Amino acid sequence: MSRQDHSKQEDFKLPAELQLFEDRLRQLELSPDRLDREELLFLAGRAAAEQVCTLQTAGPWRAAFAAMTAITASLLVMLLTGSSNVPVVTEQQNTAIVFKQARQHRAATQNTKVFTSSPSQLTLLEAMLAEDSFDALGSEPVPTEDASTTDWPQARPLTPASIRKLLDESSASFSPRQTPVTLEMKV
Amino acid sequence: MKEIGSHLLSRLLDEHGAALVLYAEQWCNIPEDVVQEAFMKLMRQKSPPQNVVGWLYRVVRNQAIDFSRAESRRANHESERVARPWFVISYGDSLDAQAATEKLTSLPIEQREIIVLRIWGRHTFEQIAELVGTSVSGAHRHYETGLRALRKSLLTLSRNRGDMQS
Repeated sequence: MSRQDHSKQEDFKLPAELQLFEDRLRQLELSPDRLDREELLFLAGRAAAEQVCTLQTAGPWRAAFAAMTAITASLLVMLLTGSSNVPVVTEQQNTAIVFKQARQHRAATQNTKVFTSSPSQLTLLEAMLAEDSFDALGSEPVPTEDASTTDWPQARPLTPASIRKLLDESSASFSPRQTPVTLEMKV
Repeated sequence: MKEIGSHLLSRLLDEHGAALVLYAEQWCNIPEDVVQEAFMKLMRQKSPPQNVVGWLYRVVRNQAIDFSRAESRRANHESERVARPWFVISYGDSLDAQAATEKLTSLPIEQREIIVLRIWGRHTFEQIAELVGTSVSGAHRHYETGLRALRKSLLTLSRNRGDMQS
């Protein structure tokens, strides 16, 4: 900006003696070579180059970070929406099947135990086999009046056919690795 | 916006380098480092400022004030400052450079800063007011008061010298 521009812009007027003094002050030249020009230009160029390098190296990393963030966000959305679509009914059905299978397995096991281990149950079995008039397989369990079996919820009358059926189910449900059930009948 | 190339940087150094050094020297005794750091900061800018010169003066001012605070905790640097000439020693009708430096140093910082900005920084009073953070009339008042005090002290000094010589 030239001095003429200065004088045009100024609304403030100095007294004449101060204007003269101002002009004399302006004639004082500033000390040159206070700045190491070559060093400053070199450092400035290096700073500019570092700035460019920083921008160039930071660009791909920023893009990669943004892409990974987007992928993560989309996966999260998919996970949330996908988990809400899982039918709870299916799990309940599976649970029911498992329960059903477990119940059948338990029934077979208990009946096998009845058949093989307990002396009182063997007595009961002998009595039922002797009568040979029960048709319990496939029907509802028949509550028995016997005091020894009132605390036995799975008790039901057996027939030779039902025993064979139980044995078949038992052998079918147990894996071959398990110890085979030994049947011992006292007749 | 145009990037700051070596040509523009060179021109900035030629036109404002010395004035920036003098401006920084109003606060600290390492003005060259302050100005150099300001130029480095300018080159590290992602996009150059709108008013590069104004930006440089502002950065120099802030950094010089920060340095002066750090220096004041360490040592008093007034003696070093006076010993270093601000102006080229001239002969003839112009003012005594050494005397001008000494008397200018004795002015309050508010007046000294505005005189430096106005005379050697070639700022308008509007620019000075914006940079210093005062009103235009306030800047002008400080300037006139400082100029008057400086003139008086330099006249007194020259009279005393004249008396001594005679």
